[in-house]
Amino acid sequence: MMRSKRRYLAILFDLERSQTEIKRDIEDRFMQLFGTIAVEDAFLRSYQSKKNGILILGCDLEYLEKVLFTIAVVCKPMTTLSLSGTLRRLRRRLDSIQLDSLNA
Amino acid sequence: MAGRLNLDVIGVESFQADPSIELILRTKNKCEVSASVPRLLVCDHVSRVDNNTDILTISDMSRISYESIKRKVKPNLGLEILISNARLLDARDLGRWVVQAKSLHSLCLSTRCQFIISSGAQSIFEMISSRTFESILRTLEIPSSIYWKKLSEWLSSKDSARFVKSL
Repeated sequence: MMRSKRRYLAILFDLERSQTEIKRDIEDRFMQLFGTIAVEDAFLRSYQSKKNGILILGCDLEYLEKVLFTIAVVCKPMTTLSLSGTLRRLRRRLDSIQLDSLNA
Repeated sequence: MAGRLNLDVIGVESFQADPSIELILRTKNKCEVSASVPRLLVCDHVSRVDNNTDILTISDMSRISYESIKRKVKPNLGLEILISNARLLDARDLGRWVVQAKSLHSLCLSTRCQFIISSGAQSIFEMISSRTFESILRTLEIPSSIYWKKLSEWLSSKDSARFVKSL
């Protein structure tokens, strides 16, 4: 079986909610919009993030556009802060971001 | 934050900070600020559109009558939809929202109005990155390069109009 390409997204969310809730919200909305087969194919996985208020979500490259659209229309506000082809590069990029400065 | 999201120009409802990126004030009242501040006059109901209105925000696309829009709007008016409204819809209504947005885009093409998609953000969590805008445009089957080009031209035309008015 050929390994599919992945994309990793850093999602900024309100600290009042947990990473698990945010991932569930995205999965639920994705399933409502594109169906159960798509949600399995998209292979949505969350990864450890050192920063509070940021969820790292991985998805299959083929479903990237759909995942981005889904995040934009999830009921609870959240935004895609950064996007990368490797987890390491995304984490490095996040390390350079001062979360406090995002309010500016 | 706007820099992080690759946004060059943003529309705001009040100037509070000294920004490093270009800001345009969105106002409902043309007398609200001095003419030197770049601004767009926004209106949220088709019956209130007049010659000074720059943008008509359509909050509920299922309730608008295309005939009244066709009758009321003048070319170069911006017709705006908000992503923040789409967030509140259930899956079925969101599907309808996408179809209605496509129809509104077609209407804009035929009436020479400017189709505008805005985040409608009230907080940084609701802001939308340029990359996400691209995927929204792709979902609405609007070529992104054409959309951004037309939007830039439209904003420039508004800038020159403001300049002439302030003279």
